[in-house]
Amino acid sequence: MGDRMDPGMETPLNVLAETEAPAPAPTRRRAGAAPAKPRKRGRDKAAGAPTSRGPLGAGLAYVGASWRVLLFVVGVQLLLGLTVIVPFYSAASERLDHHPHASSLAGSPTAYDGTLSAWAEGGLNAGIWRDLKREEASLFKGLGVTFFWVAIVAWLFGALAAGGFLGTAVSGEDPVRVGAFLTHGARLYGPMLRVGLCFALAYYLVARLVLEAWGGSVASTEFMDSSEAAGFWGARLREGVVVICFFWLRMAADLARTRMALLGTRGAVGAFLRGLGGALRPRVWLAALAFGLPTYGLLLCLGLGAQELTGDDPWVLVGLFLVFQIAVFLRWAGRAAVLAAFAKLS
Amino acid sequence: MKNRTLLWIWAALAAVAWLAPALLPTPAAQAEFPDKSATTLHYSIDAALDAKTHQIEAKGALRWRNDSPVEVAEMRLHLYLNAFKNELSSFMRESSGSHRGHTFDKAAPGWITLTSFKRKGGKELLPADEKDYEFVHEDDGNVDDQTVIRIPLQQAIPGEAEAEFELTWTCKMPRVFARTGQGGNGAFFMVAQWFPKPGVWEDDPEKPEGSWGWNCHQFHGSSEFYADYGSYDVLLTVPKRFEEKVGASGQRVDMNDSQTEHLGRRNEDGSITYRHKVDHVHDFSWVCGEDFKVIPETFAGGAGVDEEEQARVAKILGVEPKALDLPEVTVYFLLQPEHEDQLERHKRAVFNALTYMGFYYGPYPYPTLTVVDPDHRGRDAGGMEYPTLITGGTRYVRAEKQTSPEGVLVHEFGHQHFYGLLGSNEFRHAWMDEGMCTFATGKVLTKAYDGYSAAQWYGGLPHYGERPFAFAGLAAESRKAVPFAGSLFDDSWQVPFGSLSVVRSIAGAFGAQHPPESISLWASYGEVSPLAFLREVPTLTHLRLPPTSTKEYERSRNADTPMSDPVAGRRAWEYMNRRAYGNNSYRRTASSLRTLEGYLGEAVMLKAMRHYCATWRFKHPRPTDFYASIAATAKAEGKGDIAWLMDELFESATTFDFGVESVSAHPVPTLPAQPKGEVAKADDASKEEKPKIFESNVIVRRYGGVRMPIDVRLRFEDGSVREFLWDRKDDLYEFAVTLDSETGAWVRGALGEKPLVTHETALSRVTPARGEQQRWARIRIRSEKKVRSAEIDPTYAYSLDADRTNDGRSTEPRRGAALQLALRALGWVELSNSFYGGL
Repeated sequence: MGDRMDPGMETPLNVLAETEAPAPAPTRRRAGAAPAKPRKRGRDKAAGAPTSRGPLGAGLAYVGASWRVLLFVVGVQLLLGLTVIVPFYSAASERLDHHPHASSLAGSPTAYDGTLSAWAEGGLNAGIWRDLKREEASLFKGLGVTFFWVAIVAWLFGALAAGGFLGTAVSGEDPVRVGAFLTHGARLYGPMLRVGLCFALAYYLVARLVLEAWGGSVASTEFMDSSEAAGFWGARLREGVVVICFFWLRMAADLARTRMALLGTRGAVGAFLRGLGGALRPRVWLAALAFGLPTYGLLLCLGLGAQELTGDDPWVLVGLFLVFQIAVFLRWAGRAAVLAAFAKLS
Repeated sequence: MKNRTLLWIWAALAAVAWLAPALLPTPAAQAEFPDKSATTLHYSIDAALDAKTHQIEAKGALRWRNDSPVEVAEMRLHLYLNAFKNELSSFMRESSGSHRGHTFDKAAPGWITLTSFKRKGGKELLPADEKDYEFVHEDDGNVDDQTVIRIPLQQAIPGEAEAEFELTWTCKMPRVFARTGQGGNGAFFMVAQWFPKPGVWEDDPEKPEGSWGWNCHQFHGSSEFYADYGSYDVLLTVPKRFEEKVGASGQRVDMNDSQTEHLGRRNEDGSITYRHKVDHVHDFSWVCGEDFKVIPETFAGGAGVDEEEQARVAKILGVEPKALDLPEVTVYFLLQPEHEDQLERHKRAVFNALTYMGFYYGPYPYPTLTVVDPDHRGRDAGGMEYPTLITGGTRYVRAEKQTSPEGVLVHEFGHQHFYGLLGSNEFRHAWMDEGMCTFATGKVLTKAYDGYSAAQWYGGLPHYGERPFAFAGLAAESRKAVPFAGSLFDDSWQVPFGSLSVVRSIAGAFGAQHPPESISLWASYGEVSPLAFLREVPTLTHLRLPPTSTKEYERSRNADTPMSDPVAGRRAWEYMNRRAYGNNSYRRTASSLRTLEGYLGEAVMLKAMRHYCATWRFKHPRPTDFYASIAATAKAEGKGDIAWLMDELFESATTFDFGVESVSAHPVPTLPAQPKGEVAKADDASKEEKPKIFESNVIVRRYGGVRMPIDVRLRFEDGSVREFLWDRKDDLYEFAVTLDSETGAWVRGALGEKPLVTHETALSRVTPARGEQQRWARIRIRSEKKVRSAEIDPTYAYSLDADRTNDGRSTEPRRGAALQLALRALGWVELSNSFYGGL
């Protein structure tokens, strides 16, 4: 892989890369700047290195090497999130912060709050919350629309991130720096995005087929069953199938991305179709599960902690903010690890 | 001598004031029925159900008494099943063929045909040709509506005389719609509004006195029923498969057939006949379903489920607890097999309702109550009340922390009081049954349950919490966010490019024999994709709100609905639209009653409602009767004349919203004390500096139109409080307030007798009143301590308030609540975006 490839990395992955992959676009340098020194990265330290590490080890190593990038990604998510949330906070602050029982609303009622039964318990009063939403109805309606477009931007960014993760994992960057991440992301942006579109279209078709065609064909039968349970479990079954298909298609998409990053091919549809078969391999879905399940488990654990963080103490609020950023970090770390593991498996 | 006379007068007045509450009618403590001879109707019906054709053949004998001094020359009967005959009826036109989210199935209509009507032993009174039947449509002039028939009598019925009629009819049950019909192709029948029912012959209160006439309205999309009290003796013959699967109004009577334990009679053709009798009711309905699990339970009566509450209420009413003992009731639960595990929830809800409503509004007097859990194929039969029979409604999976099905069960049972025992006119005064029942439901739910926890349903299972704001996912939101693509989306699907016709084609291609009229993409109402659970990690990001009280839930729901009509003074179909009807008849009435309770106090309200219920039991109360009943108790309890309040709460279309506009405090510049002729030195001035005086300004506002006396509490920086009453005339009175050293709570004492004077040193009301135009008042206080916060209605007595976020204001903001909210919302957006970024 160009000038950054460690000559000792003769894995099938890198052989493929050296023989088939086109040379990456040269990194732009400022005029007059000294050529970048080859980075010190030992055989053992390379994230995508062909050591005795399996895909899991490679995934973990990559996460360890790419913490800067992950922090950058978290920063991007934070920025996108703030786009939606700043107006939200502004409206909520105007109505809640000056409330005489603001402490109780924050979940830490004062002794004074305790003397009035309506405020003694503490927590965001559901009636006040509804009033806030009603009185700021146009803002809340707009927030949904803003969120939609921000989510689109997030999806577009996801293609950049996937390219960045895969590019740096394949090239064995260690540590993975943001510049390299963005360079690879930009280089691979087109293929990554095209695979994303393939996934979206495939998922959409599968979901409609399962939920509508299958669901529609049995709806009357289920409805006419003497027990409501038939419809309930029928719906659960179809939902389960959709969820499984979702993960299958998602793995297929990631395999396609990996393949395209490795081989430099540009045919997203073909890669995605190949990925559909590849995603059935136990090693692939076991690797995905190995990172996906613990990541989600950790998020749920963080959730338990976050529910305890109430009150208007500044440290509580800082803690709450950190918990959410850690959660975002974990989610992206899981994704980076899966992509690195897939790169290793490929 | 003169002094002694005055003393006697004073003593007599004091005695009257003391005894006045006791002089009011004693609340009915026992389940007493009026004299049966006073009943207007006696109806005997013999009905046979053909489950294959969904038809009922029936014959009846009707004894009707003319309770007026004038003669009656014609009979008017409700034929309400004809509302479902076609799409031309007034019901269908007004409802657009939709009821509670269910649609009318044109292919499975319902109707009723009166085939014979004659005086006992007399001639046929109906025209020979059905086309010549005279249907009445005085409400809206809809000539296609056939829900009320007029039958001229050859011989008028004299005043105070009885007449007997013999009649036969056939009715066809529609596919369940608007509370009646059959489901599962004859597997379940909810048989309601199924017989020709006479209207009410009464002195029309809206016309000059003595204007007797029929009160017999058409069936409307937004109305229920009104009929005279009567006794019913009904024979119900059903196919064998419904053996022991029948429920009906009243009590089952033994048919003297020793072969069955269920008191029915087995007929030669295999069918079963049951006999049900009930007195002092104004309707009769029945139900049968081949899957029903019939579970009888006994409500033991006595103190019901709560002796403590019995004692408390008895103390308020001034009677012995024993006087509030409740009668025993046999409750028949007819549950679907898949809901059998919810029996305890059903039982607890109904027993709670029997208990608390028994204490608050008088005992339920009938020996039986039938509680029906409708078949899922006839879900629109749920949530309805008939005398001694109610329908609930539940789902396969229910959330523990939500009062469903409890809410609907308690509500429908509440109608046994506010509709059943107090037979108000539901066409003209829907609020008197629905609203009062909603108020009563809230009392029971508040007493017996923790509140309602918001939940999001993922894959059929609840997760408690709420999204920070509405966002159902990219696909669903795209129809709002991408304006030009709106036409590509199907409203009912929330899926882009969804089209029911396409789906029906696909479903047909896959072999569906009956491509559905509608399919819920996810299993049922309110559910979302389980993938959304992965996307938003709700345990982490959702808002966990404390359970909502019924009072608060209804307040905010009421506030969500724009003000358009007064609660009273509208026929059910005359409100601006169905939403206005629903809100005014249910939630706004309930919130108005709670506001009334806040003004009168809980004890006085309890006495007043008990008085009203006792006075009008088995009668037809009107709004004026209710107002008078409440006002009498209020006056007797020293609350003065409250006619203005009833007018504000029930007769006016004005918003209730009080709030605090602003709170500010600034130091008052003071000149140092300076003896005449001396030049003050700077050092001396600082030594003799007076304590700093602050001027605090609080502006309270009446954002809405309702004028009520309202409490204003000011809290000072040292933690002390002062409380004022801002009355309807914009005068300010101050309460004496003391600190309870044990509880740390501020205890309010007596209200000052005189209004505070403008420009008084300590406090002034600086704005002169401008009558109806006055919308605000300023409270200005000069004191050594600054006002830190102000709030109106601090004890939250008035639950009509449209916006509680403006109820108070503090000079020192606390950022916690909004920040916490924003941080969770931020996490929610970030995690969701991260999910999308991973696709």
